[in-house]
Amino acid sequence: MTETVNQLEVSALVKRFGDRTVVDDLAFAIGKGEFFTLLGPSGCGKSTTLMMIAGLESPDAGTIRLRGDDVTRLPPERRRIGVVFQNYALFPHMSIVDNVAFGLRMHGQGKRAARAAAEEMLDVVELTDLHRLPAQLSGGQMQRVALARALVTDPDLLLMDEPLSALDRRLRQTMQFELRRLQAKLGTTVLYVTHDQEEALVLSDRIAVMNGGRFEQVAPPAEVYTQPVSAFVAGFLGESNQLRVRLAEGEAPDGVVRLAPESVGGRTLLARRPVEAFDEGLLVVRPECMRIASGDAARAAGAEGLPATVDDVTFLGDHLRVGLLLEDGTAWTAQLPPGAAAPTVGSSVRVEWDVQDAAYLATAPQQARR
Amino acid sequence: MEQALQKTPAPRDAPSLDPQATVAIDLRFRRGRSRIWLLAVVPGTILLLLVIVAPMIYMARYGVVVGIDRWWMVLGQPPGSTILVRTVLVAVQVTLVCGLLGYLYAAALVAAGPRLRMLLFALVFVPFLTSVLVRTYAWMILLGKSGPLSALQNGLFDLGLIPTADGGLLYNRFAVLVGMVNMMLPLFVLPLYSVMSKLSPQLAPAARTMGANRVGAFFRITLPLSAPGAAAGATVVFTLSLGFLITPQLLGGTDDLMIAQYMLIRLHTFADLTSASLLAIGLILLVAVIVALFRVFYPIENLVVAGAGQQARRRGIRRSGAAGTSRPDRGRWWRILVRSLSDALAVLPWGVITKVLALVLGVFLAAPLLITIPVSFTNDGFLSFPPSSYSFRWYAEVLGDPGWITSLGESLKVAALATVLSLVVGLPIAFFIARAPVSQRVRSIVLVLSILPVLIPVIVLATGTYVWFLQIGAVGNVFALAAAHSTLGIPFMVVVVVSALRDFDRRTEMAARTLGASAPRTFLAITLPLLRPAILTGVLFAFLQSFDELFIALVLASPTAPTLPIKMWLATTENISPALAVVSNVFILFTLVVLGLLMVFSRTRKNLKKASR
Ligand SMILES: Nc1ncnc2c1ncn2[C@@H]1O[C@H](COP(=O)(O)OP(=O)(O)O)[C@@H](O)[C@H]1O
Ligand SMILES: [Mg+2]
Repeated sequence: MTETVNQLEVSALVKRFGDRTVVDDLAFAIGKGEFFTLLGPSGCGKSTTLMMIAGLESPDAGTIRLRGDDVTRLPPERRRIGVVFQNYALFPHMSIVDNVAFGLRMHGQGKRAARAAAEEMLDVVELTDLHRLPAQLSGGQMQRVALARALVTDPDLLLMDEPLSALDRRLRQTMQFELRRLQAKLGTTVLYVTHDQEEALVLSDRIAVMNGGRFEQVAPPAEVYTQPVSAFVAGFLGESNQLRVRLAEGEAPDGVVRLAPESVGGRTLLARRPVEAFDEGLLVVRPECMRIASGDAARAAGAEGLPATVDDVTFLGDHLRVGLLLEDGTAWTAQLPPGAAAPTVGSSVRVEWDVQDAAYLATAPQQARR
Repeated sequence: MEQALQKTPAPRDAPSLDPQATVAIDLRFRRGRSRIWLLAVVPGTILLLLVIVAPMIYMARYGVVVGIDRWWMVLGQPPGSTILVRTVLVAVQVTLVCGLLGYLYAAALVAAGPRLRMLLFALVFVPFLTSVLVRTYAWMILLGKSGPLSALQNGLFDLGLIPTADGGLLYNRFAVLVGMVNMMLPLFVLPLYSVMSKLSPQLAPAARTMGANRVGAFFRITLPLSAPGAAAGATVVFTLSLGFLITPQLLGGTDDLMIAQYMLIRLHTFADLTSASLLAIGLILLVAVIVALFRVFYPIENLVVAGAGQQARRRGIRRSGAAGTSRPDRGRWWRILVRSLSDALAVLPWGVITKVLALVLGVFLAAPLLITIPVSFTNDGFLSFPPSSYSFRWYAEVLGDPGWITSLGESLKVAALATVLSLVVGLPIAFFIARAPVSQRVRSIVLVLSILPVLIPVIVLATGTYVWFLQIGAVGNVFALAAAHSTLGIPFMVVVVVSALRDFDRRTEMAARTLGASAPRTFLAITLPLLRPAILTGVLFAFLQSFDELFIALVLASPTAPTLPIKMWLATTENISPALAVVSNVFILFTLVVLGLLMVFSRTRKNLKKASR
């Protein structure tokens, strides 16, 4: 194996159920040691993709390569992968240690050696009292057993399907950090599935945002968050303020486009120029990039703005949340630092943002970008 | 994802192939896979053809070759016609009484606290598992001239319920009805309770907050919602009553025959295969009509498979309409009458009343299981109650009689064979129903076909197998008998395993595959162990079905090797000696052992379920 061989390479993967295409021409690659996350709403085809890679579902087209070898037609037991299922899928009739030793036994290890290795791995995930049955464990403990069971055979690739979704919020956060620690320690390559954007941002090296069986954007967390390539991505990760716009006449500086809002007449707004040009779409600005100025204040240099009415103001501890109504009734929110002066409800203000923080995005899904 | 495992091929070796070749492999593979699934239903199909279909066709042949006059002679004029009408009448009576008592009992079961519920459930479930022959024999003691209830005979005679005041309570219609209700009540209560226990306990109280009183809440909420369970129970009770033989034969009068008794006489006493076959066809058509009619209310096969409860609820809700809202009374006189009547009734302490009545019914259900114990220890040379003194005399007699011991051995042999066959045939069918990549329609057809034998009256099966096995020279063959018996065990096996498979979390199997286990190894290491409690439950039911079965054995077993029920049946028709109480206790002991094992298995099942949640 040379350094350049990817741990997982998927190309032109398609899966249909009846006449519904659930996974639509997916292609991506994961490098060794990478933590790669499929993020998308429920029903967008994440699990199906994972199951095809595991060999538990057969693709209608496309190839799957693990460390360079085509495994598309290989049964799951010969793929050298580990899977952590959503509900853990522990074997209820086996003790914890037997659960973990199972994979080693199947790979031909003797009973004693397998048990010893299993105990070692359970030590790594910090589990004791190894002869209990799964029914006697808490959710977090089952999670650890499932993880140990998947990792003990030293798989080339670890697949995880929403492994933390059954845990409560506190435990989920603890497990996220532990997962990260463990992955760094063992150098495992992980393909992770979740519909929780926060989880994806915390854990991943790269995130693939998935929608309707296709990728909308594949990029590191920061880029996905700050430079979404589509309205869907912007809407799915964090909050965003949106306004329907179309491309306007008139010259604009380099790297910037001039846009005309459809329902707020008589002015144009500048925004970052997208990679490909299109005639109409959405202007998208994050709430934390917004400022509020008094209605008659002069426009700051390099800033854009629109008149608005303050609808409500909420103090949320680490920030101040201001609900705004634009002239056409569109609801926006601005997020101000906790010390900022709270505008009066009902007053007319000007909401402002830097041109660099405004994105011009297509409403229809664009082709995935590497 | 559901079908992932069955789609997973046996090892495919060449990792990189051109697309054309890949498609070819896939197709070849797909064909191979469906062949494997076909294989799963082959043993069952063979068995069904051999033991059910062929006999039925062979029997039907009699119906076709004889002329219409013969049909008329057998079914159209006395005694055939009177017997037919009487049979339907008795079945209607039994069903109505069971319906009334069954609702009361089920309501008490639902309302009871955990301990009372356990008691009431045991009182209905243990008799359900116990041989009808044994329980009927016990009623012969209970109702007999020297039995504990003989003091009632004057009163019952005055009420006109029994024909004479000095012959004990036996050998009349009253005794038949008491006995049949006793046999059938569990069959009504169990399905009804299974539906009622799934209804939300908040429903009736909710209705009462909307102005319905207790009585109104029962009639407008509980009754319509539980109707599917009642329909299923009534179907079973009614169809079984139509073909009932043991109880009317042992408790009824000789001039008050039911159709199954008449068939047995034609078949066994006169070897009149034609009449017996015509009667059997008549009976089975009657049963088919009844089942079809009841299916309008509720498809009973739904009740035996998981998920039925939900559907039951949905249907019930549709039927009951806006059950919760009590309409304002418009002053119509009859409305006022009904309302005030139900208000008056609602004042009664219904909770206490149902519980007390249910306990009385429980005693009625348990009585036949309890009476044989003191009787078996009697020191008297004949049947009397209470015994004048006690001893082990009859135990010594039975154990010292090689006849009883050989019969026991014969029964065990047949039951063991039948159980093995039920397992071998039933298990693949259960997998087919739960997992084969076929349409829902095919699944239900296979399910209905595999539970078909329990819907056919046993006497019809007996007649059919007899005429057919006589033809192919299989009468007296222990394997033939076991095969026939296995068709009675398979339905239980299939139903229990299918419902376990529906609850099965297939991700455990997937996990095993990803951990390096091949498909067969996954089956052995994961699937089978997780199904073990369900399979063992099915095994026990199948065993009991064969061990208790009388009539198929009666016509098929070799006369030199009677099974225990045959020997007991023959002995009952001769004289009812206390030795039979001893034999009864053997049956009851078997039942209790089975029950104990069932409880252990159901506990493991629950644990496993909890773990894979
Ligand atoms: N075995 C199947 N048969 C038919 N449709 C399926 C099957 N498995 C999944 N689907 C459908 O495919 C879509 C994607 O499912 P899935 O991959 O589980 O989504 P996700 O994991 O992203 O929530 C869903 O709409 C689901 O209903
Ligand atoms: Mg999913």
